[in-house]
Amino acid sequence: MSLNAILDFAPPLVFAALGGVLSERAGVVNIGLEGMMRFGAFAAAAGAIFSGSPWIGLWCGALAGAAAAGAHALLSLRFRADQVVSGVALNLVALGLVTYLLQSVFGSSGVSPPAPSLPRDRFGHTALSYAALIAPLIFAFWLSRTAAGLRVRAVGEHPRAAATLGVRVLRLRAFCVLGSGALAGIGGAALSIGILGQFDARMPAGQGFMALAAVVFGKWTPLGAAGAAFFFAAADALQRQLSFSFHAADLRLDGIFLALPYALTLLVLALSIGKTKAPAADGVPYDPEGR
Amino acid sequence: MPDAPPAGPDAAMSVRARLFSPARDPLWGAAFAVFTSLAVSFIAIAATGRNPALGFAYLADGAFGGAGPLGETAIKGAVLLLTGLSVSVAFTVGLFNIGAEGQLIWGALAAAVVGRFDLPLVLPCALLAAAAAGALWGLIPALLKVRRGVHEVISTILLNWIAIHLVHGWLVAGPLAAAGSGASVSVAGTEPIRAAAFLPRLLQGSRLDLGFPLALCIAFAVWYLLTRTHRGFEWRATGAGLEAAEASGIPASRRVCEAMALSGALSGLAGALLILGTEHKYPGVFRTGYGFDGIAVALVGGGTAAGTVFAGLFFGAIRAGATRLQLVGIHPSFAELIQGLAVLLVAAPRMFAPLLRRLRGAPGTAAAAPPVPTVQA
Amino acid sequence: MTAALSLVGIRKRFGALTAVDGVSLSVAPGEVLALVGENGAGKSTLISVACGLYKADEGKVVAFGRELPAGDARSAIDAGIGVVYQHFMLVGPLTVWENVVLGREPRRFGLIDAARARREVARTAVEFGLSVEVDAQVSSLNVAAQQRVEIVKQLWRGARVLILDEPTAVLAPREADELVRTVRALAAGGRSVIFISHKLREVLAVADRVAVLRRGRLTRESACAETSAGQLAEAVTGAAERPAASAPRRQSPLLPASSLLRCSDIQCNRSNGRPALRGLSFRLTRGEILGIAGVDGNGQSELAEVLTGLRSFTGTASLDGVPLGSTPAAVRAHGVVHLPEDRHRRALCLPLSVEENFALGRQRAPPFARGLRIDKSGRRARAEDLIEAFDLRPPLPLARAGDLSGGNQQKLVAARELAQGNPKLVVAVQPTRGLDLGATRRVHEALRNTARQGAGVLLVSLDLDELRAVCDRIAVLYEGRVTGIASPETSDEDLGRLMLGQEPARA
Repeated sequence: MSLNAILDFAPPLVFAALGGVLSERAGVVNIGLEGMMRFGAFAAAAGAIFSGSPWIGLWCGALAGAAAAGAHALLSLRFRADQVVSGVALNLVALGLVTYLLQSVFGSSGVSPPAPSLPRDRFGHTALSYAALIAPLIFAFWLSRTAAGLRVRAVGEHPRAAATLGVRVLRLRAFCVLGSGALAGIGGAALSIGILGQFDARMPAGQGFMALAAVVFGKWTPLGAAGAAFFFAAADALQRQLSFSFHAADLRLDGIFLALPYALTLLVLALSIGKTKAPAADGVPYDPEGR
Repeated sequence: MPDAPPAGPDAAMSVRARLFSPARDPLWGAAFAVFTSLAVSFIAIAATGRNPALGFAYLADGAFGGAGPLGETAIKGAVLLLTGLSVSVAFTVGLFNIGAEGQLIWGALAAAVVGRFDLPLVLPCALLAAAAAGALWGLIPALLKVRRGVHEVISTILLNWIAIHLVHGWLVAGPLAAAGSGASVSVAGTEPIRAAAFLPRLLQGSRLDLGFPLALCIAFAVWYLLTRTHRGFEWRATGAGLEAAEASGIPASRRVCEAMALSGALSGLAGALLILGTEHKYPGVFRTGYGFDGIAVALVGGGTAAGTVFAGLFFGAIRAGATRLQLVGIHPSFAELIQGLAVLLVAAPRMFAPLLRRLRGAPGTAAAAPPVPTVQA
Repeated sequence: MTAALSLVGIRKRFGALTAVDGVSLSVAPGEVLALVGENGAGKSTLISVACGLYKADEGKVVAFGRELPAGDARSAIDAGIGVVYQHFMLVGPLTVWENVVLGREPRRFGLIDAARARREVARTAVEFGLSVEVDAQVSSLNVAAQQRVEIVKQLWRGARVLILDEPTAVLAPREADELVRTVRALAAGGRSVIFISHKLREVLAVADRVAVLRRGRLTRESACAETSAGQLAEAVTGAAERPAASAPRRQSPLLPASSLLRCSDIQCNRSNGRPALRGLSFRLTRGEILGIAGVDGNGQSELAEVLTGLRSFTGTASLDGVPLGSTPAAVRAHGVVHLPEDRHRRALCLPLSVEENFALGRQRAPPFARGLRIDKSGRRARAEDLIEAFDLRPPLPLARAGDLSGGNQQKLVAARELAQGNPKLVVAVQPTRGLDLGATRRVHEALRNTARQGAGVLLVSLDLDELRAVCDRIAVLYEGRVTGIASPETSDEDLGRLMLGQEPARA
């Protein structure tokens, strides 16, 4: 086990976590990260297979994630639906629709055909691994130093204050939600054409929720969330290593090891010291003509 | 209802409570969601070049065409209405229980284990064990929430995965596996339960078992608890206004834990119904998804017990009939799609609000809704 | 001379409710116009239309001769209209300068030019004589400082018409005086100010002209020099009486006064860990209404929470000789009832019905329950009695509590807490905030009745007029201690000193 393994497994979590941060800092709860990752993973694999290029697949993944996020944005921003319900609904639709598409497009209920994967360099890493190291830094810089970043922060804490100063709250939130979907889609793509080389019907197998936990654990900051994501990826890599060395599969014990990362995530959340404070307006539908 | 600015900030209201506020006509909203999702599916099937009318005919036949199909609808509906109630009960105290799947799995396992013992009242014992197992698994996220502020959506989902891995990947594959299963772990599952633990079948030519009337009785009991007892009132107050409930003397944290324990127990019982009624052991391959569907059932059912029962039966029918869709070349997973759409549509009550108002008023006039909507207890 | 800001024929509806009905107003450059009216008269709506937050259904907004596009906050800001709201529009975690430049950030190479922003904000503040800490986090500032930030925010954007919505509602008398000086200085400098307030004496002191809104219509407009407070009051309420003095003088209780509540050296912390009460002591007798005055944030809220079991404390508090309970259920059993400050969160379950809200706190006992079961008919009967006694509108037990108006919601809470059983101690915090005159009178009457029956009433309020009208004695809190006990006849100036921790001037 090495840093290499962590760098390989981190990108899905890191990108999804960054997506979570973007959406929630703007004030929109995004439980649907799991579904957006799923759409992204499938679209990336399908796009890569049909075009022959993994890069096109990556674009497809980002677009699919953004499109899914569009539904979430429409429901929560335009129709002011409960954001948690909207996210959960999105996950349910993603579950069914992608399974259905896997069947109707590829005729399989397990895995897709092998997809052209992202090229690896001499260390065995894809571009996404390096991107996962740089993206959090860029995001953090953007959030704290640009005007757009300032407005996003304002809109997530006190949208009405921003509105009185001419900031277009709903539009900004919509961009952030779409952006978060694109990031989650890239995270999903990292799973299918970055790590596995094909789409598996179980993807992302709860990683969208681990990404959410990373957002909470990282106190809704880009660097914190990315750090937490790396931590969870390390735990996952460790689990695989232990499972392998204990011959867990032969002893029929691999269930215990597979459960470990989730249990660890839960433990970490439970022990997070102090009441973690989400952005003040997180999850509250914004009504332009309300009081 | 006039769109006057609300008397106070919307944010002060529990968001969950807003969704389930009975004044918002959940029955109409659910009916529209169901109807629209069916319509959209109809169009989607046609768009893929297949015959939607035939497909729906097969679907209906698979759900209602005879004793066998009716039995399937009933037993699947029974499980779904229980997981739906599980989620609804959690909603009552303002919590979103996504963990029904994990609670169901532990309940199923408990039933499968207890059902093997030579006890005088093995069937009720197995049911109780399942309820207890589910209740414990439901208590964990509740405690995490009230003591450590961990958001229940995340914790219940993580617990689902923990349950799936521990039970499927270890317990059922390892220590509890049926003897002599050897290499074919994936098919074997646990030892079969004793015949005395079977839920008795009720209808010739179908798999309809005691679980169905049992589920209906449980639904009634839950309804009674929530709407007719003061404990249920305290739960509803906790979900509707946490601070107000606490300030009035209700021990909110304790109520939340109680409700989540019941919620878990209901899902656990759902799992027991599957084992004791249909499978008669914990099977090696057991990807049911009934727990997740429970969320859909609860949302479409609008938070009322009656709504949940009907939504549960509706989704049960869809599940029962879905296998027949293959006869027109549609994969059964399409059923999940219909459900997902229904949930998505239910999530946006405002989409229907103008339409609903027009329908409730006399045709051609402005909304004839009462000036202040009333609350149905 | 062109008016600085002109509202012509504004009409705005919310569903069936017409909030503003054909109002035309204008203010000249360098003029201070006061806008007066009861809560719900339409002042806030009118202002929101003027600054482009709301789109008027009819009418137009003209700034310096140019008509503004409706519902466009940006063009209103560009035209020089700035609003300081009653509930501040400040983003807590951001700094002062970030709040001031938000939406119009100075840039350099695509990034925010923080140095220039800081410089400009500091310069604007100095230019108008307002002291602000440019790098402070807004949430750490006190209310008066936050208000200064709001004013700087508008001035930095080049506001030439400044609209202040109830600016002195949250200020101590001394801070209010300072604000009045600032306003006059702004006017002298050529800016126009629209000053919204329901404090009639204050309005006459600060403004040049005064306009009165009532039920969405303009009922009077005149120069302040030619108007008396009485005339204003008449225009505001439509009746020939002064709201402040309309409440009858408090009668002395007929029962012998005996000590009901004794608090000694109470100490407690705020939610953020900082001390709130630092050794508070006072006594309350039976049948007495004791007012708690003070600038918001000096421990009044925490005191109320301590007495109602919502906050832990050290020190001794005893009710009728028995130590006060430490949980809401315990104090309730002891006979303490609470009319909380934030009724939406603390007193009402908004999605539930009126009837169910009446049961809150008493749901396990008759008439609301029989054994384990809810007694529906008993609950209905009790609800109908309370609705009638307090004239709740609409008189529907099944109406959703969240759909009631603020006044009716408060009447619900008052009915529930005061008219059921015999409370021993009533802790009422800002019970008439946001209520119109009728509802206010009813709540005051209910409090007096409860006191007459022998209960002790603790009335926490930021409104000195209310305290004077209702209370027997007024205790003033400053930084978590009682700085003095005043009588209702004490002057504003003396009360003001106590509220700021100074000794009252002795003649």
